[in-house]
Amino acid sequence: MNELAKDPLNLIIGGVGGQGNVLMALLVGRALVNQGMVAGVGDTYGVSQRGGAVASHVRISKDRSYGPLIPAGHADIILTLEPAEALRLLSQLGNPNTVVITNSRPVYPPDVSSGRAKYPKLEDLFKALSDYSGKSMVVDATEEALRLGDPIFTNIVMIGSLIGADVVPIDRETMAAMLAERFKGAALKSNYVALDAGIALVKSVI
Amino acid sequence: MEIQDYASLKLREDVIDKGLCPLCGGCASGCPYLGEYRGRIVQLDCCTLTDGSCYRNCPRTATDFDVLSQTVFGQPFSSEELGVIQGAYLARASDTSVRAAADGGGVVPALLSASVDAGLIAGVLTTGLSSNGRTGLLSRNVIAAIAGPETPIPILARNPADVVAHTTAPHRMARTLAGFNSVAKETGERFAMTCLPCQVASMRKRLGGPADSRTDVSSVALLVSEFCAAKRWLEPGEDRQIANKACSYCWDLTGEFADVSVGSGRAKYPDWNTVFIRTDAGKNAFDAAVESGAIETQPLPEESLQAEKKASWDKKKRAVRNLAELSGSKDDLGYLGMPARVVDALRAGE
Amino acid sequence: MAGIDADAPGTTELMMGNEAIARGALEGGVGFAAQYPGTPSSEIIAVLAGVAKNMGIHAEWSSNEMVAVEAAAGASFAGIPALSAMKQNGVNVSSDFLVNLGMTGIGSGGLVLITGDDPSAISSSNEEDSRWICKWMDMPLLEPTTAQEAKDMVKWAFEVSRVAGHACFVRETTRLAHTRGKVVLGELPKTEKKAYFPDVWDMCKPAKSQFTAGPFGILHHHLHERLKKVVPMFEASEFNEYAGPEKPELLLITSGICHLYCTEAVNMLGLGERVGVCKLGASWPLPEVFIETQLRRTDRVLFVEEIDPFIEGSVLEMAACLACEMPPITFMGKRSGHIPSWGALSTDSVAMTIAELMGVEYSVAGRTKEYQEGLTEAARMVPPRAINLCPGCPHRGTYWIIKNALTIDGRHGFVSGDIGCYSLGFIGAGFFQERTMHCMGGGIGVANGLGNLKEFGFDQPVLAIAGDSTFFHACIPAIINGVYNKANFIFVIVDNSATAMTGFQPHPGVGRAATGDPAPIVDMEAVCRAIGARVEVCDPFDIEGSTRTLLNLMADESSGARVLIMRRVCELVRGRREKTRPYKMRVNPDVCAGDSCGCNRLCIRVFGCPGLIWDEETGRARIDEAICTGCGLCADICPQGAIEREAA
Repeated sequence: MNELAKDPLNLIIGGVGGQGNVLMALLVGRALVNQGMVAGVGDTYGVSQRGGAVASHVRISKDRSYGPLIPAGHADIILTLEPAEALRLLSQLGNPNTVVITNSRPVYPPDVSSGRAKYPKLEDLFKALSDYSGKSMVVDATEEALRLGDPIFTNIVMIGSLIGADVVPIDRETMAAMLAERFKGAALKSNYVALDAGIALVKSVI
Repeated sequence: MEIQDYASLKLREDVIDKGLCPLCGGCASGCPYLGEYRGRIVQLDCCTLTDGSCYRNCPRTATDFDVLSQTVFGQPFSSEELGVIQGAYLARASDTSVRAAADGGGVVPALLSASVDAGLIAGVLTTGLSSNGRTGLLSRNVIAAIAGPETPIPILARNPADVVAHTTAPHRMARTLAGFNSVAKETGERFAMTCLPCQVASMRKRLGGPADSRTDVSSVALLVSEFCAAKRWLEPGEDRQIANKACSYCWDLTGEFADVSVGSGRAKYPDWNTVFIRTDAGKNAFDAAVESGAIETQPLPEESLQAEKKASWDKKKRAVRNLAELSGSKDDLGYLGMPARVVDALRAGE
Repeated sequence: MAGIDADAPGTTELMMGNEAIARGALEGGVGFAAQYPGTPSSEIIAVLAGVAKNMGIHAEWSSNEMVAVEAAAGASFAGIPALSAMKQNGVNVSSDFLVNLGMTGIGSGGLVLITGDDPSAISSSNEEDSRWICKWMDMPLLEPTTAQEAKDMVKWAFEVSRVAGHACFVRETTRLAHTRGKVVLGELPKTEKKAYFPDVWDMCKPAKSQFTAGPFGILHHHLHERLKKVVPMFEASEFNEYAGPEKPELLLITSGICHLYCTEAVNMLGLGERVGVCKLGASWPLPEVFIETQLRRTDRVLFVEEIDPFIEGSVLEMAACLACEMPPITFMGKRSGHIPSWGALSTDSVAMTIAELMGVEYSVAGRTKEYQEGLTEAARMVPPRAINLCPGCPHRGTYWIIKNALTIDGRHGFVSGDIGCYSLGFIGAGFFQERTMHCMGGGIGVANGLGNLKEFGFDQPVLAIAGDSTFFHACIPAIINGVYNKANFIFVIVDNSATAMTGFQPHPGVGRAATGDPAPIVDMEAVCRAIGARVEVCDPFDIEGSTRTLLNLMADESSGARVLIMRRVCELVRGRREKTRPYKMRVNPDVCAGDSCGCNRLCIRVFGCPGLIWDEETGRARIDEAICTGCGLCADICPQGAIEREAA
């Protein structure tokens, strides 16, 4: 798809610090600029990287620059590496038409592991995502990445799912070219596999 | 749950802060949060459990003496000055080098090494020095594990020579109960422990309590108690004994809940030990040691018996007096759940 | 993407604010760049160092911000345009030099200082507005709103600084620094620069050098006069602009990233015909003529800025003087409480305020009351997500050792802490061991005081903690003081071979320069021993040995200031370098005691490594293989020996 569904199109990429959402936002931003669009990407760095909730705001437009933060209720697409973070972001920034694409695998925060807080049952979490979004897609990206040999591929799998869901104007070839700018040799091949796996995974749940 | 309900904090409030803690190490024996170090119980972090073996097995939390006696002897708490006794002897190790190492009768090392020889037990849980090398037990209690060369650490001594070496050292009971935590359930072995009376009480309370996740108290086949005059073991490298005021609240001179109680022969018999056999397990071990020639015995002279009875009775009287003073009330004797008949007898004529 | 040094004017790139600043510096002819890492500014020298060789410039990580600014000033004295960048705290650290630099001027090179403020202190120990230093010390100030502006302003800033004869500040905030936006590249200058210090001793005409400050109050007057020369530049600058109706009902005066929040908010509310936006990009000295023109448009003004009422206060001063000549104006902002006096702003918060002032409704797009309530209720199931030390972090081992040693010791000892990843010792991640925390070097500094109170019966063991980069930045004078003044403390240096929190930049102890070239290693132990402290070195993964050493150190009070170096490389650095996991970890569910007495979830509830999680179904701890880095440390703390490690 090469046309913007709306202008600006607001994409938020979220997860837990250390999962690699900054790289995802960079790849998406650069792919959009390559395809002639204007994109702004606002990341969180520093302390929140240490296991805190992180999010990158991507504002996509044909010709205008927008502020670094997506205003409340204006997120069109929520892409997350962690399912509870999807609901957190939906509650802060979503609306009834938002499209949610999330990884299924929880990352348990210290309060949950210690017993001080509870992590919701996954089916309750996925139901809430579905009830309050326009469409919700859950992808087993970590499991796929582990199958490919390293959990580090999770974020590329999710990029694949973003593309496969056909909600942003980025095609597979453009993203593959972005990967080729960053990776070489065996690493590049593995990332291609992860990308295509993500595309296939989301298509199986659309 | 409220923080004041945490078992470890209640232990601190009810026992340690009240000055009752005899440093037996019973609380630490099942616990990665507690340990004994240089004369105090250290808590490394906060455990949030409200029902903890630390509190339950402490000899200075409420103890029902009738229940404990029932568990060990199958009968209510004895009104006798020295508790339940099947046999009373003077005994000593036949081997003079063992006597020399023990600086007395040497019955404890001789009895225990004979039990190992006879296959009655797989080993003896006691305390050694880390400079002697780690011989098997790391309790995963960090305090026991940060051993410098002269720090006592729990030891499971498996061969008779080691048994003798470790059970004649002055620190032999310092961290024994901490070691109990490390003797895993799954070994299925049976072993002996040499303890002070407070440590015996802790182990016996464990017998009557719920099964712990990690340890199996029924693996303790033989509990040998040494008489205690409220002097503590030496910390090697420290030229003093750690005196413990809490011991003035203790009632138990001879270790009345042990299988075998062993004390010095006193001034009259410096080369001998006074021995009380209390249970069948104790009797079997003692008989085996005598039969194998490891131990020589003679009946305990009446004079000696009377002296021990008086000393034991006096200690019990003192405990009752001091506990009443601590609580401020004659009727509140704190942990001491002795039957009223015994308490009354102790108070008669005062 | 083309590199920061691409010779391709007119090309459009996607750059983050910091990258654009670096590009602007190159376009402005920078020759010397020095910085100490500090979020949100750290990328600037990192990027310049990456192209330093190509561009024939010098870029370095300095040991601290004061040295960095001094070094950059030195280059400017020799005619080389220079740049230094820092976070807000770096401005504080370099302030004494700056106030003296104002007395001497900067020579012919030009000096640009980038300061990155951190609204809401997302990655900082404090929230602070560094713009005041410009008013305080008569330095010009520029505030970019987009990455494009950042580039253009930094390029211009060199010229402004030469006119002002002082450093020109360019102030960004976190959201500008780390937001990527469209940037059109400009030209790279082609001139060769020759460095020469121009004011050497002339024996025939001996005179004081221009670069010496001194007992001359008149130098302060000269500084004021120089700054006035900047005013016409700022009055004419296109960085200051007004957009909106001729006579707005409400005038917003704003700067920096808040400008984007204002324009987006006005658009969202459909108030483009009623609300005007005045952007100040060249904001100190105030372009008073320009501002007065905007003030005369309206009778209601709202100041929208982060963090302090810097522009607000300065415009109010100016307005007070104009009061007799102008119709009255209602000024609103932080003074009036319309804009919060702390924290980061957002499009939403600004929109809510404007809506209220303009009597229009602000509603979140597409959200009915029912949707909002239902979603808020559903979102209650999302657990809080506290920050934690990374899996495999050596600081977890260090704090475990410290916690145990202090409790074993039993004399109510504590840790006086400092700034870095190990700062997480102030919360559960580091077992709440850090009991004071202020600035770089603050930990050992405070320990110097606490360690010298024996006259007052003080007998608690005092530990201070700092990282390896912090050691070089700020701690050495305090160690010297501790030895010289016989203070009683143990200084724990957590040496993980990186300036980790800010992005793993190298420092003088690591052996690598900003450019990636090998660099001499400054030997931390040798420095401490030369100062005269007793030094021990331990591995934070050796729980027993290190606890023992620390206990021994605590008992050894005759030695005064003692140093314990806990040395193990940062797990993220090691992982990237070696690309391996040393061990495969597993919790044996048959041995794990879980919630029961004898454990009570020690590994998860207390130790807290994120690689260990709780399995609700089995009631046992479990390794999360997507998070665990295989460092193996947890196997040593499990009281039951249930955690197994297998060499990978």
